Amino acid sequence: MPFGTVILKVAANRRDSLMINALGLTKRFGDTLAVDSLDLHVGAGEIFGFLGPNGAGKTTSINMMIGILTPTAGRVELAGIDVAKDPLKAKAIIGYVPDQPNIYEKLTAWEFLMFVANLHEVERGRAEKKARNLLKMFDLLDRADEQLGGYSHGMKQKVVIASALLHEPKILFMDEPTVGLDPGSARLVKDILRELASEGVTVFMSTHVLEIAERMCDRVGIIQKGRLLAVGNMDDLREVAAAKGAMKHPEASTLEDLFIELTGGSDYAEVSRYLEG
Amino acid sequence: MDKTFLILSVELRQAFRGTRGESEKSSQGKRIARNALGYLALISLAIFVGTSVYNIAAALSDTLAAYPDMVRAVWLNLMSGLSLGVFVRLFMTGISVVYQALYDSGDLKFLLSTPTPVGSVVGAKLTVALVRNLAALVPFMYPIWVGYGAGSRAPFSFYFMSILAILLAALLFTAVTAIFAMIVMRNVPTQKMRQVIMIGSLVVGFMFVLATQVLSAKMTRSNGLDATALAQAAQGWGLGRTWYLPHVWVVKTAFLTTPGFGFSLWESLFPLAVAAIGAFVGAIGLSANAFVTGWSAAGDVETGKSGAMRRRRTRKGTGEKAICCELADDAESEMPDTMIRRHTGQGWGIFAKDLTIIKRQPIIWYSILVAIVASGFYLYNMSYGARSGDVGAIPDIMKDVILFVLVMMSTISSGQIAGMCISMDGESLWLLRSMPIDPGTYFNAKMALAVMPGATVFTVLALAMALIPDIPQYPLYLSLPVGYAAISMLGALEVMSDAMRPNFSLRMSGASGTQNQKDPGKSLISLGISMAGTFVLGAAFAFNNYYSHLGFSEGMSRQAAILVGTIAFATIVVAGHAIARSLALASIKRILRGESN
Repeated sequence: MPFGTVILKVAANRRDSLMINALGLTKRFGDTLAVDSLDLHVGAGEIFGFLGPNGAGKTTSINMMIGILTPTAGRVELAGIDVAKDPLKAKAIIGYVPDQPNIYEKLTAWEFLMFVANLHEVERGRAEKKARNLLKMFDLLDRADEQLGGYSHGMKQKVVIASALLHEPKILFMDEPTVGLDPGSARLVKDILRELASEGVTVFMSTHVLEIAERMCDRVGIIQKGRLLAVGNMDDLREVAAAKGAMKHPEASTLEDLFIELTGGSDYAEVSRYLEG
Repeated sequence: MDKTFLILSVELRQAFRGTRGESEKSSQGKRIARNALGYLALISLAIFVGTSVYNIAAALSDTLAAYPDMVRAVWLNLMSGLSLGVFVRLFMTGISVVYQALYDSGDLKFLLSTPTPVGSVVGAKLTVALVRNLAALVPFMYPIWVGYGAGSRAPFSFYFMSILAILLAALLFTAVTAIFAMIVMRNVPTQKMRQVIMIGSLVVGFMFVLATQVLSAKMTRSNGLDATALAQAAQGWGLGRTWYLPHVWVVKTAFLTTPGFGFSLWESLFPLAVAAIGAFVGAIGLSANAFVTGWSAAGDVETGKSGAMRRRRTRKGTGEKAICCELADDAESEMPDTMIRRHTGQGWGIFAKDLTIIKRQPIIWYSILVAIVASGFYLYNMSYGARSGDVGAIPDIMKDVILFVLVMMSTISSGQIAGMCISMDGESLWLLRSMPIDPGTYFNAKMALAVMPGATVFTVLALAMALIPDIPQYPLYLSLPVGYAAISMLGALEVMSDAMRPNFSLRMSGASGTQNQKDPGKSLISLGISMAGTFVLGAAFAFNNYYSHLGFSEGMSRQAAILVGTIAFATIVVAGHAIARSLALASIKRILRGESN
């Protein structure tokens, strides 16, 4: 039985329907403009990579999109639901994996998953079956009754990912999902994401691992200093880079080349000149 | 040494800037006001304690004015007991303070990776632990010495010597504990060590509470806390004669410059200072060989294999094929039944999750235990009074006093839970925020958590009280509903208070480095709500006992006064609930939407 039909019976979303629709999303902390008029549109079944240097505004953007940070301006719709107007309905269809797996350290992994299932009001039998399967998949079943305080960072991350999948979300937000995971688990997560996307789930993930973004994502958005610099597939990004005119062979460039060019090519050139003496 | 001071300066800067982090957008003015309020409460407490001791000292001096040697002997013994109390107090909280400073600080990994000698790092961390221990000690202990000094006209140098003695006692304790911890940490796994430390210090603390309660009960039987009773009790202890014990050095150091006591430097300050400084230097010296190994062990992940759900290890799923195969193999293994899944729904989930976490916090059960013991002694003393025939003189108001003392004890005992029931979610705030949680359901779950422990304690106490004959008390069919109503309103106020000013840096698990498990400000607010709230509710309910002394109601009949009191009580309860719910819900909505950190 394929993974998706067992774990995630996602509603039949059409690939072209808009699942994430961010309009003029802005966040200001005092004098600091963290996110500036962000417009993003992500369709059903799409894996969208959100890239940017440290402090570019990725996590702030995600927090606004999932309704845990109130925007200074702008609005977000998830599957047509306005996050500000109907946050509970919006949150019911998303799964979220934060950049740091801070979880209740006095609960066991099993208790934590059951707690999350309760919050999403998943029927008991179904929740237990799914939790068991997810724990088994992440190789945590034999440690499911240990308190999370004794888990390593990577193990906690796996528990959090499992909790985000428990209720069959339509949209999955992941902030640096593979940080702290061993290669096998990282591969597993990538496989899961691909499977989810094929089932129509929208995956929105921020990452610093450009190789993952290049190989997995249908489209990527690059943000810097709160502003969206470019968005699209690799060809779209190459066009944007070519338009800047700084790259000699944009058609042969990798995502890493494009990222550096778009976010700080001149700075890197300075560093390079300095290193060369 | 320079690096020790450098680390210390950073620690101090962090302490002054607070622990709430960048995400909190609280203004500086608010922070200063909050700190000022906390300090004001501490100063008020210190003044209260100091004044009380001053009165006792003055009374004792007057009563025994013709026998100055006897007065000195009495005070020497009393202060020996107090010095012992200094160490007991340190046992109650100091061990975990030292352990956390040495092995749980989040910055240790960074500091040890720099070219800083281990001794400098440990020296700085020990100094931080010393300051924390002193902060827990001085506001409660020093006012007693000051009260005595003022009451018995001690020389000015006494005030300096007594604080020096407390400082050296704390230094000695901190350093010896550090040596002990460093030796043990090399051999004992972290989780077990934590349990040993926690349970050990709790047992000592509990014994201390028990001993003070026994003394209190004994005093009650000796017609209360008068100067003669104190003197008789103190002379029986003879604690000052054991010259080789550190608490004796402490008391002799404090009295070193006070005329009439005649202690020499060699039996007081010298051994205390040498032991304290020697232990501190010894701890730093030992750290070069013992600290890093122990600290590494502290970071190990517990990989015990006991438990109800040990299974054969599943093979690693590293590909799509493996995923499919593993997922097809479902529903085979049995999972343990957890309280969380016993019922469905968000409210139950949140309540059961909180209860599961609290169940695993020994410190919370300890405070409930202490409250029950204190209340038990209160009942014991009351029963003695009843049997001795004193109750004939007790007016009707005693029924109300007893009822509301039980209410107060119950709410204080559960204050640690009710007063931080929302803050405790800081551990995983992102999770709750990203979930479709209805604020009303969340509030109800927190209310259940806030009220349940207090109501349980109250039920136990009320039932125990009902078994004691001749005590003036209301029948259970009246006392239980009144008590539950009062406890639920006070619980609502505590939830409201925590929702309006949550401290999400609190960590119930105490895990992950420098995060706090306690918030003294929150404890004080919780205590204030319990005491002031009980007073207001009790005053309303007991109106029929004093209405004739008030101008506006002196012509009222007793029946009318009972009706007015009952209505006033019910109104306060209902209004308190309504206000608390409304304000708490507004705050909870902000918290869940990410508008408040």
